[in-house]
Amino acid sequence: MTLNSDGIDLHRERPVNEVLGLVVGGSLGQGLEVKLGGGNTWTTVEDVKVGSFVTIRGKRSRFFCVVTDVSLGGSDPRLKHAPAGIQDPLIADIVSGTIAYGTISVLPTLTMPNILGDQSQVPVTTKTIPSHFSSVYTATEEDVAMVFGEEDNKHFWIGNPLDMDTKVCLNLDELVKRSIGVFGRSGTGKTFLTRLLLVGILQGGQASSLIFDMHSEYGWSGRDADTNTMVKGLKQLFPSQVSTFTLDEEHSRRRGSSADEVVRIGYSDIEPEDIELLRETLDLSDVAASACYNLQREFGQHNWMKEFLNRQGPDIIELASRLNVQPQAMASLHNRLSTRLGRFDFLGEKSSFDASAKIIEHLERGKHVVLEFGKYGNNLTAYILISNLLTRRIHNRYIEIKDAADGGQGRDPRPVVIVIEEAHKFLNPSVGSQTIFGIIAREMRKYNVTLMVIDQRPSAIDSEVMSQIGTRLTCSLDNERDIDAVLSGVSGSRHLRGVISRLEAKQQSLIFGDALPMPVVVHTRSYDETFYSQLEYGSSHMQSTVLGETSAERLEREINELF
Amino acid sequence: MALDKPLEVRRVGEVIESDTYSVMAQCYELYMAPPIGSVIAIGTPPVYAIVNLIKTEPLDPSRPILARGKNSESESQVYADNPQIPRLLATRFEGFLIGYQEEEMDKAYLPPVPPIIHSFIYTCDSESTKRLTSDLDFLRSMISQAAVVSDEVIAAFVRNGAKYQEESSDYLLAAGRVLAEELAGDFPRLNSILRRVRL
Repeated sequence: MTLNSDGIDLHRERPVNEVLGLVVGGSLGQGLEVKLGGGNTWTTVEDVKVGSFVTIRGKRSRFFCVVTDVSLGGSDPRLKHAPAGIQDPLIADIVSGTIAYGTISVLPTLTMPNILGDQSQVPVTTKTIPSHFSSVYTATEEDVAMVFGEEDNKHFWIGNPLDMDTKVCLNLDELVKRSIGVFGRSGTGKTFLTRLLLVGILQGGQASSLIFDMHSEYGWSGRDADTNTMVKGLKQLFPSQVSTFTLDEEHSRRRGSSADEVVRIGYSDIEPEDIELLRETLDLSDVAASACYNLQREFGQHNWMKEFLNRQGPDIIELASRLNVQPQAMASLHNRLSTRLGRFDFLGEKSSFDASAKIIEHLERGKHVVLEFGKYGNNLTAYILISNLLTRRIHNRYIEIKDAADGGQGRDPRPVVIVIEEAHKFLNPSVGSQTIFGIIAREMRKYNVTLMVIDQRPSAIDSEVMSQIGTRLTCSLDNERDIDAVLSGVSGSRHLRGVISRLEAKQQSLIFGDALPMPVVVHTRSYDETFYSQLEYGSSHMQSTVLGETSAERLEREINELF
Repeated sequence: MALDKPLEVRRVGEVIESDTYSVMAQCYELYMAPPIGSVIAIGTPPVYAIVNLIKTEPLDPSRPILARGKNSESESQVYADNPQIPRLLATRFEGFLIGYQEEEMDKAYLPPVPPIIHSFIYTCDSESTKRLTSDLDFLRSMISQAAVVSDEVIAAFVRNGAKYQEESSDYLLAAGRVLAEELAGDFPRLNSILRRVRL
């Protein structure tokens, strides 16, 4: 046995996978062309799948690559025209792999240490390519494990590469550092993927999360539309770490979930910006929406809405002329606000309950907050209004805390991930630059606030916001513009484009960005009984590891948290 | 593949013309040339060659052969009635050089100098034939002279080789792939050879 200075067995037998073929050309940007066959084995194209992994052993290093295309080639163009004799099995055997051969295109992504198990070298982004005729091997499970890490309290197992048992683990630290995007057309498993991510963040304890749960799917049990079975929500899986807030107490009670807090919003909390954001859903003109600012100036932030809504008929016209606003616009504003917003039970003239303060309090305690919309789940106006309003306040508060911490008073705020659905309504180019979510997506990383954006129309999201999304998880998409949007600003996007359109409709997603060393198609974990049971040990164990407490301390903490 | 009969080392003739690529040999006995595609060893240490062209012609080119069997009942009758014929004819064959032996190592490329005139020519026994045909470099060496070696001879060499291998079908596949690599740009020709390779 020969050991090098690091104690690594240089002659350790590598699990020899068969040689797939030889590198015959290509470039770093465009990917490498590999001719199949060439060793003692004659691999056919049918043995290789797009999205699978191969390693190439170059002269100095090993390269980890992903297969991006599979094609048929021939050394003689006449092959197409003179296939005589090819029915003969011997001739067919001889010709295939030699003059009629398969080629695969592979994209080198990482450079790996040459010796397996060498911990001193970690896979790094590749900056060169292997030389001609380097041998190409199917990647072993060990290779893949080396790239995608092992499950621990910083790495969350999200799924497996296609046709492999190796785990793909997301780096949770990197995941929450910048915004996250979950995309896919409807019915492709965005919700399940989001549940998984949230469980990961919850387990890892890197950040708190605030979930604006439009359809009440995350907090308490949700229904799996395919199997028509109920799946557990976060509150059921992690009762001591999750707080649920609701806008519709009745709905929560009916579903058997006990919300921790019922959210009430006062008119005084609503700012003109909120109404401006609702312009589209309330069908208001520009003039009407901006009239809110005039009203705010006139009556002050606390009273403008109340005062305005209390006025009737001629008073409004009079007010309009006093404020130099077109009377019709003012009337339509009044009409929309009183009819649409007036219907919301959670909105009242006065509210003694400061929802945002409560939420921040829970978040600061390391809790994860799910805000259920109950019957307002299908009301986009309510969703946009509430999430925008609360987020703005949380944003302000976080800036204060962070600035204080920077000034040496207090500690940094706990990182928080804000989860929003139908994100294009908040982040489309016309409003994205003004809304709080646009600001968070662009710069709140500094203040420990990031977004998790869930959407089925990524093309409708402001490109500036898209470019700030650190980790993107995309399920199947078929609209060209959506695919373009998801891939914007990603190197090698040409290769990924084909992968996205070929994703299966269920349980498959392409994940790329900060949390993974390279793009990978993942067969996501099932969110079912097996998953719950895998968590049971993991959650309590990890929580105590994070906090560094003993089991007795943990018991005490859990009792305290319970009561 | 069952062998028809084991090959023996037999001295068949002598070199009468010689150049870098090939030799012309004359058989000691009329019609006793080794079959095309078979391996012959020339001189000692041996230079290997593949039998290419076999011809039987008058010893004196100025004396053309005349038809003599008009009144004979069989071909053998013709020879019996004209005992002078064998003395007026000679069987000659051409051998393409494919390699040689040096210090008991087989080299699959041309010898530095061609065999000298009157070198003895031997057929190879089963063992040597197996050894030389299984080294597919000899096949490559032959195809490199593809311009002058006919498809038939290449096919005969492969067929001949297959006969003496333990796993003839594996051999055919391996040899076929060598041909395919060498003739990668010429599919029709490859196809034509492969169709003749079938046993």
